[in-house]
Amino acid sequence: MGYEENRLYYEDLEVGQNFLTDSRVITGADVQMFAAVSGDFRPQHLNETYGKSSPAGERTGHDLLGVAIASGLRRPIAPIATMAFMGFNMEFREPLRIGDTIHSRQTVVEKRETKKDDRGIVRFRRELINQDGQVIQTGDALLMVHRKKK
Amino acid sequence: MDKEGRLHYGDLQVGEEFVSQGRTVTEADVVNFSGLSGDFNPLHVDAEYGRNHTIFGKNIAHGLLGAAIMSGLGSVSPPLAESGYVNIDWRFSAPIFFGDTVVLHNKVAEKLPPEGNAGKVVFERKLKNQKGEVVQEGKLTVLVKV
Repeated sequence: MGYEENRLYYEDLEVGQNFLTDSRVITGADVQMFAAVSGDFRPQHLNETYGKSSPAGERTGHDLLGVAIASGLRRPIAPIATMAFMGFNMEFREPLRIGDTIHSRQTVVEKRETKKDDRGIVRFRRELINQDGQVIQTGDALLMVHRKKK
Repeated sequence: MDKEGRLHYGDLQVGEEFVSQGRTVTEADVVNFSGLSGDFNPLHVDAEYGRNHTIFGKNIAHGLLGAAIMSGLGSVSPPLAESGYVNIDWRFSAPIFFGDTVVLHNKVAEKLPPEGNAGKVVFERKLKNQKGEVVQEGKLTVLVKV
């Protein structure tokens, strides 16, 4: 089956549907690379000495590194036929610690049709969870998803 | 301002706006972001798919790459004495194409009363491209030291 046929379309997603992604460890290398790509070299992420005197007690991963990794973690479902990523909100509850192994719980919380009949809007709740079961980030991602061709 | 040139809670005035330097978003940035995040959606990494199967007619940068670059430009414009982000509400209003140059407009929107030695400051941020179009925008709340 080709890539296009094997995807999940707007019609395939149901409110309440949820799944857990794969897990991934956050390493110091991930933090360096996020700094390199983003240009965000703030000391709480890059400076061990500074990190030791910060509230987290150590240097931590960037909060947006957590969001980036959550978007790329493998899901146990076919790829979603995303037309565009429209936006997100996220509450950063706990620091993303180097050495944490994180996964994401993703739930379809809302679906709505638009004026254009080739697409729909799907709101996912995305919770980022560490190895202790602690939710370190929680928020929503809004995707524009293709509808099946009539 | 402290000896490292970072602004503290009391240095920030509501309504004040900081404009960053520009940054050109290249294909290399997109490939690096795919490698880092694991997001290899063909929207970003498959040129044939970009040409023939997207509403844009070409590949676009990851929305979250734009958000990452927003945080990088914002980390020095202005430099803040802060202990981290509290929350973000962020909208991808228009795509960022390879070769686009983005600039961050970073405005102090609100200062909440300090609790202890830090206070929450809400920044209204807009990422604009070389045509002056807003490509991403939203609010970022940062805990800034008093």
